[in-house]
Amino acid sequence: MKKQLALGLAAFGLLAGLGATTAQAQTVCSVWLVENSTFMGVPFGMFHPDRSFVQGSTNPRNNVNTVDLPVNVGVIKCGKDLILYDNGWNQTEYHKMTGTGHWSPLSKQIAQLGFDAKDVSKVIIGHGHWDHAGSLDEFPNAILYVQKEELRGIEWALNYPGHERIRAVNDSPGGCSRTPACGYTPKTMDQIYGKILRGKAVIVDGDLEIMPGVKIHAAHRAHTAGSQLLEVNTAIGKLMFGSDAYSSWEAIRDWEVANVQQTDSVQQFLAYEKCYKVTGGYQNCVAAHEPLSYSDKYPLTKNSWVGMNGARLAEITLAPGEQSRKK
Amino acid sequence: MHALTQNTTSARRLPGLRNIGVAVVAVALTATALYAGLREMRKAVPPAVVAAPMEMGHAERPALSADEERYAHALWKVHDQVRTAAVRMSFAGLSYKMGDIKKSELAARVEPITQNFKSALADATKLAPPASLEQLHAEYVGAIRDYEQASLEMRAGKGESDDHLITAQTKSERAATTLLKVGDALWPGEHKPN
Repeated sequence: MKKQLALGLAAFGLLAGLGATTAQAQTVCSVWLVENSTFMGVPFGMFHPDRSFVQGSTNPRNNVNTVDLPVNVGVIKCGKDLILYDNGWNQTEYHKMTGTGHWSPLSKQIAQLGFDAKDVSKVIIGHGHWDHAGSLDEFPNAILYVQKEELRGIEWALNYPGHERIRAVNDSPGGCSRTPACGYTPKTMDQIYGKILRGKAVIVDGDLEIMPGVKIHAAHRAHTAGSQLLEVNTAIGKLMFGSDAYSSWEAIRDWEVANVQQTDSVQQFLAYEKCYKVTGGYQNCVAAHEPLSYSDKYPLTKNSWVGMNGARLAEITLAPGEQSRKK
Repeated sequence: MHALTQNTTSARRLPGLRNIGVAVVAVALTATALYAGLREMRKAVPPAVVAAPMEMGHAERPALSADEERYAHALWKVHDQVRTAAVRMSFAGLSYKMGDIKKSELAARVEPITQNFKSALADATKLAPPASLEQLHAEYVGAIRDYEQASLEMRAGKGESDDHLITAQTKSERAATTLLKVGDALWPGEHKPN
């Protein structure tokens, strides 16, 4: 009996040791958030339907008419690897027409954190829309991670033989009209193809751990056909980046849809659930367009400052030994 | 009589007093309504969000003139063809790289795309841009030529090497950048925030 007990304890100790080794093997990453630009004065209800403005309402959920939506990019340093989650966009005339503010080239924005664009080793796009995958040419050495399903989804719409409204590209100057694969410009698609052609891309089919503690989770149809989330291990626990599957942090908290494009609402909720499961709640879900970003009201992003051209940055968490890059 | 007179006088004064009373009540109600309204408006002010200042020197985009609008409208039809053909060309290359088609099939996949570019080029060169957009028009026509050349390059490769595809993609990326620039100037609402 004593021998069995001793064996049991030894086995337990061995397993516990293995567990500790596994936990130690996970890279602890430093994370910043950069506001690549801001879409100004967007009707709240267009972005977050449950928060539609009601004239005269005293309900704080419905008394905000318009919101400014940041376009957030994740800057993640894991050991020597410098990773971007999404990479913003660049259309200067559009900025002038719409009053879009705070834009600067992303390569210059990350230089404010002391990073060189040439050192970006990986770019993971949450999806391929032009305002999230529109600066790939600024990061020539980076390996692109894109979901196979994202490419399949665009190709499907491109070749769809039915009604003309179901198309891969815009059919009116006024915008995309929610066509199934809307939002992919020739330049964005060509740059994605260029990365793949040059062997600088990984076409991800489902989930993929790209290094210990950094894992891509497929979230197909949570915003577009091949949306993907990114789990990152940090000193403050797991973070989960969601691009437009997590457009609004408040929507994740309140279990509501947001920024519905080619979105299956069930899949968007399952993507929210993934964050709750992996991170233990909603606090560490990193949203792409949350209006409360860089304020106390979105606590994860509150350690923020104003940088180039009025755009904001946030230092979310630092790995042990990493110096603050806040200015 | 006196009493009657007095009563009569009181009776005569009553409508005046009533009017004053009604006016007082109306003023009070209006004031109350205004106060309540202002209070609600104050409540309805959006919660404070940490807002960064807008960039200095932000210039609004001037509107297009009637002639420029006409040209933009005409070019849109060409742009629609070019853009779709361009995305199809990227996907032809992607289909090959993803193993959906063999290299030998790539040329056949791209051949109709070359025709799309040829047709778009013919249509574009028929357009007469206003003087203010001549430069932009020339750039757009140049982009279609780049695309056509890229498609021919994609079809030309022999053997295992993908070098010709890289040459083609470099040209098509340059053309795509021009398309974005021209599109941004003429149809800046082409792509909505996604």
